[in-house]
Amino acid sequence: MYAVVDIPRFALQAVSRMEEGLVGKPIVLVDASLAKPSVIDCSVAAERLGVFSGLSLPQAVARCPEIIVRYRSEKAEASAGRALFDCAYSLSPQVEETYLGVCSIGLDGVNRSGLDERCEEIVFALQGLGLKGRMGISTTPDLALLVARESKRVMVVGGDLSQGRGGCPQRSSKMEFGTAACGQSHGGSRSLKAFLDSLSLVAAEPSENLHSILAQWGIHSAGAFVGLPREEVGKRLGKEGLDFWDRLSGRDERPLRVSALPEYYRESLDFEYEINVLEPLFFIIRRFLDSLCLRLRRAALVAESLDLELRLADIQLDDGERVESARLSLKIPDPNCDADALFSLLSIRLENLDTDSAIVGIGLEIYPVERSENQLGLFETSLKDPHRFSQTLAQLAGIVGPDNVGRPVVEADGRPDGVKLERLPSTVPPANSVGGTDSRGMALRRFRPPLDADVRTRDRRPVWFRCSRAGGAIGAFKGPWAHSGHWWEAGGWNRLEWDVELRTGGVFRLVKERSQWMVEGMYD
Amino acid sequence: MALTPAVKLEPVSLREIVGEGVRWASGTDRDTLGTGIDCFDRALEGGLPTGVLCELVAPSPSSGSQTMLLRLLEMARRRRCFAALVDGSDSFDPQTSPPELLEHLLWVRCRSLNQALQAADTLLRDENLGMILIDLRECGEWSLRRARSSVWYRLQRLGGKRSAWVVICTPRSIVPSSQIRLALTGRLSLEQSDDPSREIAESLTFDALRLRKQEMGDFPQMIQAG
Repeated sequence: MYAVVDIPRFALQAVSRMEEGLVGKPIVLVDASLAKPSVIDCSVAAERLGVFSGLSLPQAVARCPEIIVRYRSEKAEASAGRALFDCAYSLSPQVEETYLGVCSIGLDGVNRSGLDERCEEIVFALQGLGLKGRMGISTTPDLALLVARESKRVMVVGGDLSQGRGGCPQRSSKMEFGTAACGQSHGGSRSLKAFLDSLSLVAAEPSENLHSILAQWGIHSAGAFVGLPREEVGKRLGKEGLDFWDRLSGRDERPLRVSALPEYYRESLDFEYEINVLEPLFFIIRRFLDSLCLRLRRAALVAESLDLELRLADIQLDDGERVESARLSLKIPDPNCDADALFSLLSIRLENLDTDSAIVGIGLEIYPVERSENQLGLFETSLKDPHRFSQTLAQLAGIVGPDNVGRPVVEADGRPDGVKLERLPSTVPPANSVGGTDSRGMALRRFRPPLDADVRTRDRRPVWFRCSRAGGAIGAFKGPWAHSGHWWEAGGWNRLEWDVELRTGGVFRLVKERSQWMVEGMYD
Repeated sequence: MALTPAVKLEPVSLREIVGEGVRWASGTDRDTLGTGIDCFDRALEGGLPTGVLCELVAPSPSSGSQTMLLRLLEMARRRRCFAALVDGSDSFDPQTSPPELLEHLLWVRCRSLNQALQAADTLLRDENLGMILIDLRECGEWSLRRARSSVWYRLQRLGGKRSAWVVICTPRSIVPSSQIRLALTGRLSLEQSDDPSREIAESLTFDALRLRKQEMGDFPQMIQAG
């Protein structure tokens, strides 16, 4: 058995799904690469107003002045094609990208019970991604395609969905016309004969020559043609007629060219017009995230970080610099594949983003990781709501910058003020000894950057200092302590440190490096 | 025309109106964080309660405010809750902090008071954090005094809705909405520089400048028309 997902008017749907508010409106699709732009596809609303494919653009506008004109977009079609493939992949891994807008699915080994309901779910998922699709299930890929084109949402022809798990391909493909396929089967399937009787010969797409001969014979439906004896068809119409007969009767079962699930998680689109407000951008980002998260779920992965590229209109700034794009990188504190959560994170960051010019293109890439499912320990510290925390982090990153939020981690080389910020994990293991006796000394309140200081010394010991925050006679001191590292390369340090206490109160850390005195902080 | 008698207003508690058939979330349900510092815990009658804005005033240099913040972080770690430190002047030094206190800490490095107040406002809306420390000690008294009082009241209201410990460290008594205000009265000396951190923290001394128990009280009072 095979299933086929078909997206009618695929090129048009691929473009219109990227824009809000186009549903139900008269739209025509124009190929910009042609010298004289002509209509290559149009919506149902446009058809009602007398527009059809092949008209020139002025003709279409003359028939319908309020018509919306959009250019065909290869990137939009590729994006819609990937979304279609991802949806089809949820049914079975044997998916063939037959051509743009059509995916054929092999159902060998797929549990048949409830198959029609799962197909309904696929159609529903496609609808969520902005694609109106339909599905057909039958004994061969070609028949399934014909069934899909005749169905409203999901139609099953010539198959019994009550069989449980599908067996070997031979068993299902050898169903003869008029025997196994007869009668209504469980799951609402039609018999192949009844379906072919109702199918016009034109819908089965015979060649022009074949169609004219059959029309002269008085054969107008696929069922009437398949009712002819195969040998007689072969004698009169030759190989072409036999192939057509085999295709319609389900005798010819071609193998699928199975494609693998793409391993990249990137979507991109160039706009026809410049965008300078957030709403249309949010709409497209949401579409991208829906598609990418669906693909992540199929591959059992979760998003660890996002990279958003906004391609800007080509303008030259006052200082002569050209800015081509703005980039936004986002780490996800709790890796997940929830489109809602990722969208809220991105939207929060975008609200604080200013670009130098309007946006003409967008690219969104997700860097995935494998999902790690761990049993929480009784004594671990864990976040109550990781999604909410992700939003908070995004907001904080918008306020103080993404490099200024995180968990502090001290660098191992002991570099002065050597600290980096890491992502705060959603779960922290229990500490073995908190506030144990190992910890000694006072906490430093660091001045960043260290303050330049005037220092008076006696016998190489500081006796007085002054900086912008404090100063006076030194009543007591400890040190000096030599502290050096990485002196053999750039970025090294070699310094002497004193802890000094002013007579008026206050304990400070005094540092001498390359004959320069500095106050590094105050013990507090 | 006869005048209607004036409406008599008398305060009636919500408990009397609603009756006894409901469970009340009273002030005594607040979780209290004992710090192990006698002077601090005694001043607060047991420890720092949740949902209350506490202002920690550190008027003099080396008065121990950073040590106190680390002590609070330690207590949060023991209670297994995440903590956030809004560092108003980017002065926190992780190198002199015990590493186990950094594992659950979200450090927000701010460059101005405005950033710090915005960050605090954001963090107070997130229920994932059990403790929020706002260190404005080095932000400058002048800029702190210029902050609108509505900002402080908003922080207090946000904190009141949460079951988190909220502490603001300031150089002077500045936060008008704080329900608790404690001032560090002692000073650290160089002699303590080799002492265990625990002993240094326990040597800190405080003065309780404000304890608004009524604001930390049980339930609101209503005025009912007689």
